[in-house]
Amino acid sequence: MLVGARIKLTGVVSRQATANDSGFVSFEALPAGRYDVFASAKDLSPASPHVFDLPGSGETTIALTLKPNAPTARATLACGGLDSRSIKALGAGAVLVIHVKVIGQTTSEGLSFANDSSMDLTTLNRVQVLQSFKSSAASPPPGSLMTVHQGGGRIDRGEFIDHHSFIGLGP
Amino acid sequence: MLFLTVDGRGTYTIHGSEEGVFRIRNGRVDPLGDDGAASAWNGRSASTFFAGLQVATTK
Repeated sequence: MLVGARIKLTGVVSRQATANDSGFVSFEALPAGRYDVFASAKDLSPASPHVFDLPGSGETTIALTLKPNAPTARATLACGGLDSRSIKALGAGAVLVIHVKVIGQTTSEGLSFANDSSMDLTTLNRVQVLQSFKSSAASPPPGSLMTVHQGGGRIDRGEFIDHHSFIGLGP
Repeated sequence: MLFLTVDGRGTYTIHGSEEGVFRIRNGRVDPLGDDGAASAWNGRSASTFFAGLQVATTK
């Protein structure tokens, strides 16, 4: 890890620290639970949030890599026509309302949503259904697997990170 | 928790953008969005959220 990288931990408790001369950060006496860890450093693309479940005892080690941003970044704003005032309004506009566990994400490149000649990134989330709300014939049963598409994502092109901001769904 | 729409090819996408995503972290609601329903449920207990969803999604 880079010396001076900033590490932020959020979950049962929140902590942040700066990497030492060896590039390490250590957080001690953390309560068990689910945490997101974010890494960032000057002039580098922030790492995707890394999610992990900390057990009640023992030690967990996480290695994070930061790379430069691509020469250009893309952002797509999704807006218009959505009533998000309440979960009832959101549910009325949705085909499915499901509690899921994200078990995998892949990002690929394809033709732009705008149907021009540019390329957009799309992230496919593989999810396992834990519970379906809004019961209908199309509602997937618990345990079934689905793929949910979302615009945007990050692709590691080796030397740099190509980033298309659209929506930030993480595991 | 995902609120999903589907297109004519059967592709499921998130309803809206961040508004259709509510993460559950350590028994609490952690919405990806920041207004409307997201603001109303941010930090509340997951069990209360699920109970509210049962009511909200029942016609």
